[in-house]
Amino acid sequence: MKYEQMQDKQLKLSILLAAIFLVSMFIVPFLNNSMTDAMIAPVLGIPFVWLFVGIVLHLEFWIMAIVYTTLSNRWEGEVTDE
Amino acid sequence: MSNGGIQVLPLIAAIFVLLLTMVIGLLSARRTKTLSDYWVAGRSVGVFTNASAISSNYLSAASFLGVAAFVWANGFDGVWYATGFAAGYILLLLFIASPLRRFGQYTIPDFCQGRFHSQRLRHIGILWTVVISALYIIAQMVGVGTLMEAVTGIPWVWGVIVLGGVITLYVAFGGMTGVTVTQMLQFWIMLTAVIAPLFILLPKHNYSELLLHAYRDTGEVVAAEVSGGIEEPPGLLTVEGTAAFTEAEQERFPTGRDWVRPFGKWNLFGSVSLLIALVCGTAGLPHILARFYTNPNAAKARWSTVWVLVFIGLFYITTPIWGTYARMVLGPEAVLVNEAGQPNPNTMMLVTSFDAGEWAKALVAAGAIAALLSTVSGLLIALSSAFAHDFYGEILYREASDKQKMIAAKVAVIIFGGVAIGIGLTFRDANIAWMVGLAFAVAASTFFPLLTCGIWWRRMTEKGAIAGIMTGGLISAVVVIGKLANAWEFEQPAVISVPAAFLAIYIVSKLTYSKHNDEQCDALDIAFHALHHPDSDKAG
Repeated sequence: MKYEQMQDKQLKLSILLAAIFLVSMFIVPFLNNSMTDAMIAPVLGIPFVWLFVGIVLHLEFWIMAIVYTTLSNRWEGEVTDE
Repeated sequence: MSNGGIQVLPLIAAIFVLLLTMVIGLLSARRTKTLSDYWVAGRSVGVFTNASAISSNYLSAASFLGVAAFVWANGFDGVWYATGFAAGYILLLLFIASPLRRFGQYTIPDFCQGRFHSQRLRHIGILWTVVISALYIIAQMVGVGTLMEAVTGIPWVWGVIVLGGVITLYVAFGGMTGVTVTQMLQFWIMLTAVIAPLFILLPKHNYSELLLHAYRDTGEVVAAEVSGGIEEPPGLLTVEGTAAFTEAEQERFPTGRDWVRPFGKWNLFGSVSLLIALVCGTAGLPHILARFYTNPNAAKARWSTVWVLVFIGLFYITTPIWGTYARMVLGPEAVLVNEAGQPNPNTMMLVTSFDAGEWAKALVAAGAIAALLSTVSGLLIALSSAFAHDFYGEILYREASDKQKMIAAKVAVIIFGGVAIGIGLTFRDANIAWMVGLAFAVAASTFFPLLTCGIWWRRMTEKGAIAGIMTGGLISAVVVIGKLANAWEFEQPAVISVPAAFLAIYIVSKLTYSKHNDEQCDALDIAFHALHHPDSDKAG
């Protein structure tokens, strides 16, 4: 893989993951505002929004971080191998 | 339950952490031989060690006790802090960490000058490094005295002097090498302190039971809802000498079901602005960014960030549990506030000592002291590098030998350590949470736009960088000054200042890039290339 291709792919991946990240975080206050009762409906005995913000978002961060790092390092390895 | 007088077990735990830190920090001084050792630990720090050190550097006492206290007082809005503080590392990973490491410098002002070939931008970088780190360290030093008094019973003044003195000493002699080892150790003390007591607390009451009892004052929650039953929490608990929840305070803090619902503290606009400050601010804090220079290469900087997300994620997942537990045990009527109107940082001490035993109280004391030590040490490194490396070594006296620069570095740490102690003693009543929040907002408005655009936009210019960093910083300052002068209630500048900084960078760079000659464009291209090409790792 050429350096320019790798850089382009890295940037696209970063933007895609950042968009997912920003939407999943910043949509929550708006949902809280528009459908409060649904957001605090219990799931596993815990209000949904507490569960989502307190735990699920962390899991999403971990997955995104691993995916980005694995792919980025692999692509950079392909550039340096050539 | 008293917070007066000497508390033996917490005091022993605090002394243990202090001595351990000092000994390890000073022993590390023997391995600090070069300037690279002093500022970036020889760029030889492995993934696990650096991830632990970054986590520890980031988790101050505000996180350690403050987030749980915030959940206790404000309910769901406190959970935003727990997640928002961690979330910033995603943007840091996606856009900043590895290119910054690949650039191969020591400090953020180094990046400012190296990327744009501008000493003027280095000056501005130094200015904002000092502003952000100073805001942060003032809050920490005020917290030092408060915390030492709360967890050990040591008089406030002596807490600031002793803890401040210890930190200054081991940072001055050990530099980043010493700080790295001690921060790693401090992180694992902190994580153990927040997780271990939960193994005793959670088997007694699962989390949904805790939540039900946490807002029991509504009258809607009845015992029948709690399957298996739960011990009735004790009645109102108060801390000796501290006022309990007054009527006026009840209006400020949500009670009943409102405690579980969103917007207990902020409205929609405030919530979004807070999130922007937390997410973007994390990716712009100089004392955190400096740690990425210590990894051997960009790939390891990335993996370090991944592990930071896991480590601090584990930490922050526990904080709403602690806050909820405190709410159940102490009840909403017992929300205690300090003189500045903030939730009392003693929260977790009260809870653990009540239900998990004295050992847990000592463990939490050790964790809290570790949190303060690690963050202040990182801030001292950032402040002293801004002076000794960026100002003295790169502007004032460029011909200085490495030995002279090393002496300047140690002197700078001692001076900044002394100033921090003095400030801590002077600003006893400073609003810690507000100051930390402000540091995040300023970092989000200055370094975050500068770094993101500087790393990823080839055609960003020096003038664009200056316009962006100054626009973001000055808007933050105006909002804060207006709030202090009671001109408006608005206190979260990030929702305005961050977009404004990006916009200023874009407009001014667009207007000025076309005026660059070929040589200037080539210089920008070379710097841009050094940020991204994997071969730069070998050179850096």
